[in-house]
Amino acid sequence: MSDKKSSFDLSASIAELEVLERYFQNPDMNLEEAIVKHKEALELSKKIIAYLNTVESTLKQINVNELKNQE
Amino acid sequence: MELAGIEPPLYSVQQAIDHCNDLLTVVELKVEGEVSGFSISRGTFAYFSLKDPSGEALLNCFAIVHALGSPLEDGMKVIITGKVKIHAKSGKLSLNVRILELQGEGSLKRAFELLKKKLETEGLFAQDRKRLLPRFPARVGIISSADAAGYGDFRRIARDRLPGIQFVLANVAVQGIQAEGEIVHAFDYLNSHYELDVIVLIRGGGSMEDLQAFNSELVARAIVRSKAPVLVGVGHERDITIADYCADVRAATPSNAAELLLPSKDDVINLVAQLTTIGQRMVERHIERQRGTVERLVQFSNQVLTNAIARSQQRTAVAMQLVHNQLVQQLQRVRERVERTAGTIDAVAPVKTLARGYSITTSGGVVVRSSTQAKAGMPLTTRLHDGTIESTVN
Repeated sequence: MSDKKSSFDLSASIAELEVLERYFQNPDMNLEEAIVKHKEALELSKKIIAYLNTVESTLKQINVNELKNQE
Repeated sequence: MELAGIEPPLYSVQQAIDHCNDLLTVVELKVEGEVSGFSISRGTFAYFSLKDPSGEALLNCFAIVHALGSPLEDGMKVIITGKVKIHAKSGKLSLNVRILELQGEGSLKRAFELLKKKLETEGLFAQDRKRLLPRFPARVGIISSADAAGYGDFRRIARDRLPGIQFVLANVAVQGIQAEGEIVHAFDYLNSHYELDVIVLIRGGGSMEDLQAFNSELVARAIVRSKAPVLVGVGHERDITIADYCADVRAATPSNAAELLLPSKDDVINLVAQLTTIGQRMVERHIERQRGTVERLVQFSNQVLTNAIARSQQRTAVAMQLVHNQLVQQLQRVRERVERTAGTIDAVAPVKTLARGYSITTSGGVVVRSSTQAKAGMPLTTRLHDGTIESTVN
């Protein structure tokens, strides 16, 4: 768990994405900067989704029924 | 009797009888004869006559019944020792019985049978009256003659079998006139002066006449009332006396009395071995029972523990299922949040707007939002989704 946290901080990443979201709500955004930030947001979103996919895959591998049958 | 020159005094009849009786007090007679006209008055006083075999001479006799020692009936031959006295009312001379001796085997046997029947009827021989002898007596009273061979046999065998027993000897005559009284007194003395586990009455063999003291009613009753249980070993095996019938335990001989009274060393060793074996078995059974109890408790504890573990496992699994489900739900919520945020960004990002055909015009880096901002000759840069167009305001 601590390894995962050190390699990817989900909370920090989501917070960062939400900062980007607020940035795009500003009507006076700098176009060039907005384009860059848009790219950043896309890449960050991909990373987060990839991380979530990994976590979901891990969860699916855990068979809770095995726990029930353990003696 | 008339003394020369002395005139006898004149007596009344009563005085004459009293005077005669005074003179007779120093005279004790021992008279042999046959019992005749035997009767008992009020259960206490015995009256009979002694007669010679010819039947021509009679002597009246009087006795207290319980002092007779042996039952009497007509025809028995006896020797009576006692003093004579004249009874004033009847004027008859009477021999007051002090000692009664039966004479001849016929009389002895007949007296034996009569006494046996009487005492048996009273229940003196009843088995339920008999007491058990202690297995290991510590203090034993002996009624016997210290000089008798039977007593010597008894002591020798007793010493060989089990030493360390305390014996208290009442040295008595075991035959003859004195025997009956001394034996009775010995019983009373031992019972009143000692705490005894057993009293043993011993005498060697002899004729029926020799053993007469052991066929005495007084001795029989002394045995029955004895506080300590009584073991009788009198005569030979074939000799059975009234004392034998009354005894709590009858031994065939004095030697046999020692054997019945005391266990042998081997008996003691065997008994100790038996008790040891019994003790071992009891301990083993006890241990076995305790082992069973412990095993049942262990089994029970195991079952309780197993059940507790199974319940804990089940609860853990249920908890894990909940945790898992919540994690999946949380993951889904995060995913939706990220996708929503990313979607919003994507929706408002200028690149997407440009792709739909819109453009952004700037002049000198400033966005031109209104045509009123445009001045002739002003350079403009128009950004499209795939590039820029440079132009000038006309």
